Amino acid sequence: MTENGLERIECKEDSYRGVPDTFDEMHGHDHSIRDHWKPLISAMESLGDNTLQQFQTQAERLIGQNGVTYQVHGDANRENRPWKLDLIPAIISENDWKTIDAGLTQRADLLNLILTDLYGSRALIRSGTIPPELVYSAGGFLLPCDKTYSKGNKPLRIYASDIVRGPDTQWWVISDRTQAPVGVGYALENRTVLSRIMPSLLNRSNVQRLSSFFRLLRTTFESISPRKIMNPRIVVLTNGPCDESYFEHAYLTNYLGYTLVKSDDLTVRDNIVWLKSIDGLKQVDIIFRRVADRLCDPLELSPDSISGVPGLLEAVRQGNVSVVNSIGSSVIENPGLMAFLPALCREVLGQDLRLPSAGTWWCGQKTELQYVLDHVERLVIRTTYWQPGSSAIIGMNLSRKDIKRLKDEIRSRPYLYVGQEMINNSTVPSLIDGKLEPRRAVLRCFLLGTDGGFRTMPGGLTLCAPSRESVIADYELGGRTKDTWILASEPDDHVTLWRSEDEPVESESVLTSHSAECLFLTGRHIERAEGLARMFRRVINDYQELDWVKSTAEIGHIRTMLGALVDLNGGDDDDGLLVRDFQLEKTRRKFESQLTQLAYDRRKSGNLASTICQLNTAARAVRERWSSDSWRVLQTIEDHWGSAFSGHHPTLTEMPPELDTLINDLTAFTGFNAESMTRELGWVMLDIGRRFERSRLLIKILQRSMVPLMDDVAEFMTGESILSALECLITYRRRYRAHIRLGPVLELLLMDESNPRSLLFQLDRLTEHLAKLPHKHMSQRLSVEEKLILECSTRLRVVVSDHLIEPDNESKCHINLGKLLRRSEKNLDQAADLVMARYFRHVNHPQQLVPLEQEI
Amino acid sequence: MRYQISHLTSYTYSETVQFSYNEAHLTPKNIPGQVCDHAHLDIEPGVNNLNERVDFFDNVTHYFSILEPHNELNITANSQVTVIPTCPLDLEVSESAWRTDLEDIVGSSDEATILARQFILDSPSVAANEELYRYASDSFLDNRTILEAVTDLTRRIYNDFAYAPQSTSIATPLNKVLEERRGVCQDFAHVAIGCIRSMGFPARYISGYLETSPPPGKEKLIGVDASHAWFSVYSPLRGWVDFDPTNDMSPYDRHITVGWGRDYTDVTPLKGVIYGGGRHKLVVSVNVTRL
Repeated sequence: MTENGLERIECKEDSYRGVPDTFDEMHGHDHSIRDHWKPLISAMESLGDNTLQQFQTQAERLIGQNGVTYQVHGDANRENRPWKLDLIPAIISENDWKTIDAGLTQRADLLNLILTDLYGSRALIRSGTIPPELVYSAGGFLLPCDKTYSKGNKPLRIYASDIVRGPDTQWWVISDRTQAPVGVGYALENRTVLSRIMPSLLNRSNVQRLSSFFRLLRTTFESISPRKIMNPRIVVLTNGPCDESYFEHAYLTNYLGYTLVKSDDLTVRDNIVWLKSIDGLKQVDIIFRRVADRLCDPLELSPDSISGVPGLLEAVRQGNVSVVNSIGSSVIENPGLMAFLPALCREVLGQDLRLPSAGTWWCGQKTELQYVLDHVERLVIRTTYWQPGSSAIIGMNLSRKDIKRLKDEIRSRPYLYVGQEMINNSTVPSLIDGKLEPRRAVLRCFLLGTDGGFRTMPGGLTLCAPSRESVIADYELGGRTKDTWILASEPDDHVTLWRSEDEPVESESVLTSHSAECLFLTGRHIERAEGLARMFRRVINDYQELDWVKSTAEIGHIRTMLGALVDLNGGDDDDGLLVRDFQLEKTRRKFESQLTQLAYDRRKSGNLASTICQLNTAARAVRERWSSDSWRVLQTIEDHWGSAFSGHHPTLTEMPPELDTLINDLTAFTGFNAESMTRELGWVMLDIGRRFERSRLLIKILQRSMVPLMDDVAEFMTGESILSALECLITYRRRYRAHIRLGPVLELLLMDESNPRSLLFQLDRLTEHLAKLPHKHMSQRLSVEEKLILECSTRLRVVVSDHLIEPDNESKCHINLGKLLRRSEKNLDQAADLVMARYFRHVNHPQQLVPLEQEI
Repeated sequence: MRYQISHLTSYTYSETVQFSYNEAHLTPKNIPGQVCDHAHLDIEPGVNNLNERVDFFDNVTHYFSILEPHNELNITANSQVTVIPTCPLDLEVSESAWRTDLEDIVGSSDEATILARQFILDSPSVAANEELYRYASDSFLDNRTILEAVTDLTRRIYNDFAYAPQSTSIATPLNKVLEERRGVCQDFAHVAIGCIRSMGFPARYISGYLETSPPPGKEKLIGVDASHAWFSVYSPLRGWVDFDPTNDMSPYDRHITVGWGRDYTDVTPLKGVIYGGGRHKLVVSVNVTRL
């Protein structure tokens, strides 16, 4: 960097005005740039504004494509919002980090010991150090968890701490997260995005890497397995796609190589937790839970709900499974505890608390209550029991009326409230419309409890306030996040998970019944969406060509195609599309708009729009199984079609290019999967779903278009259209070099085992796949579903096309073809039902056995 | 006094239950003045697991799961308990007025008192409120000791509230019971606990049994055909003292304690999560005989 360069920066950064009386992480008092920010700022300066903005756009695109989302609580639409990342990292100097690291490891140690005591002997309560009201009044303390913590096993393994820096440069802790802290995966994703966009900058800056932290996490988790075995089974327990940070659950699961499960994937038998997989029950050793304490076990923890795994807490008590963090750990998230930490630290650790908490007044004490009531306007008011979605109340933002109401609430249940000093937290530069502007920030740090002590992740998630004036950094209120760089004096060794020193161990891949079902459904929906799109495209094409030649045959042909299309869409013709006259100018418009609605109206079940919705739901639920390319394509489909659905529908002429793109994307998704998924059970399930659906669509189309008798012209036109919609026209022409006739068309579409679009081809694949599925009873005999498929394919192999096209003048149809199709359909439907019944979850929904019994 | 207790709980389901996970408080605990000599749980159909432990309040707690399909669940809890009568309360002993006790409780560094403070706080089924406070105030006269006040409160609940089985369910809110002035023993115990907590004293819920047939010359007590409930109040001087508002008496030797907690939800005799089952019907019978 040249002298000039630096000068230029300082000139330019004159436009960066700090917030008065506030510490700025980048700027010193004299507007000079702090040393540890200089390399970044000068590097960015050399890039220029445009490049920076391009980088930001690129980052946003990457995040969109990777499907990084966070749902906002209380958001009426419950939409997945893209994760918001500000390209400019927050930089922490080595010295600052030493202070933070030492302070947080001490705090984690302390909290872990308090947690152990509270569910153990409760000496801290008996001695009067912690007032019983503070613990027992808050919802965090769960009586059933009493004495469930085993000796020597830290109940606190993952701890997150939110810290801020005040004007006097001091760092303060403002909250502790100990249940299932959100953010560690997002922090990792932020870093991944930055290292893709500005790799050289990251490398040059001696930024400490995150990967060693995750490697340590893996070895630590393995060490706490109750079964001392080589490869303990670790599952990540999630609430599913409805959880605001579901992305993170799936992301971490993939990164760490675990299995993502929902509570109904687990069952307790013999005091052991089992994973329901499609080849039976598998013992679970460690549950990395991403759900709240109360949602772990409905038998003991949530009498009014059914979420969780009944018997889980008992399995923990019996020592057969480790849960991270231990159930009940939310008790130490209680902010009231902060008021007692200095005394506790001396009593428990014999040390002074290194990193102070923001001033805290717990209203369960008289003097403190009075102080809080007198100073509400200047304080942050928190409740002693934090629940996801609840946020702190900022006194200064309240109206007079609100303050009165709040004070009344506090007076009526003082134990439940805590007043906390409002720290004038420091600002960091944020990239806003291409310019740097100061935003207040909170840093969330993550610690891992290893048997050798707590280790801090050298990085974190920095959260910025949404505007310059805003005093609080809250993601739910629209703040943005930053990658956080901890500078090292020495360059860090590049260690990643896959280059760990451990011997690579092959872990058995497990397919949960739930995942199997979602993959099967993804396969069905992807195939259905593609089939519908192709059929639509062809129908629109035929319809548009109609303007030129208006023969009766052609109109009949259009009607046949429309009939097939309506059948594919579920068969209901509520709008009367099939009887509408589209030859007259005045009714044509209506007809066209109804045709587009048939594709786009999400309220119609089974149509293209709702199929894409279902596809997204199913694919999202197995988020962790898609390669990044597959996911990117899915995201593109959702982005494009999601917005198309909510806005106005395109016109008929606008549809074909959209359908082209959709078909490309769907095929790309299938292609990526075919090239990247190992041929294990997951793939088999996905492909079984596809093959069943493709067979079903084909049968439906043929039933409507080929079974009724037609004249030669119609037979030609319909044959050509169907071949084209089924992507077989080129093959037909090459092979038969002839006029399109029903016989050869059926040969190609039904009985040709080399044609990947033929029915027989689907049946052959199904035969192969079904043979690979684990059978409940090991035997050499075929399963019923295998027999059904065999019956169906044998029938196709022996049938002669001449027999199929024999006309039956009485019923005016190809009666033999109709029979064949009907029988095939029945075989396939039965087989699909059997697969679903055999391999998917079919537990009844649990219910609480309401204790009706009254004590009289 | 020795008692033989037999407590039968029987669930009949309209649809088959596939799995069932349960927690039971059916075995009397050992406490000063009461020894459980023998206890046995008999469960039909057979269990996958039956684990015994003591819970947070040292109550005997059983966890069991049933993994075979069933349409009926029968649990028989048999036990033999020796009850050593406690001295009847002597209210004449000079004690300070209740307000002084209240200050002692809040500022105490005595371990037993610190631990009792948990029972002043709101619990899942009992939360202190204005109405309860108002009802209690008539008993908490300035010159009374805490036990005098609670004795009076017990008598008032006995007189003011109608004993009316089927008038309430376990889901009936406390204020509705207070308003309508009727309920069963569980409601009366909850009302008393709510009143006492509203005044700032610790009170806990006790679940147990009563002797079924009265000894010669004594009256049959109310609440003998199922499990019974009463409450206990904490006095810094005397510790925990029991009262039975359903029978307006101080339990002496005809009450057998199974367990205690903050309210009914902590000592529910039987609760569970079942898969399947549809609607269910419950039959309970209790028999307590003097040996």
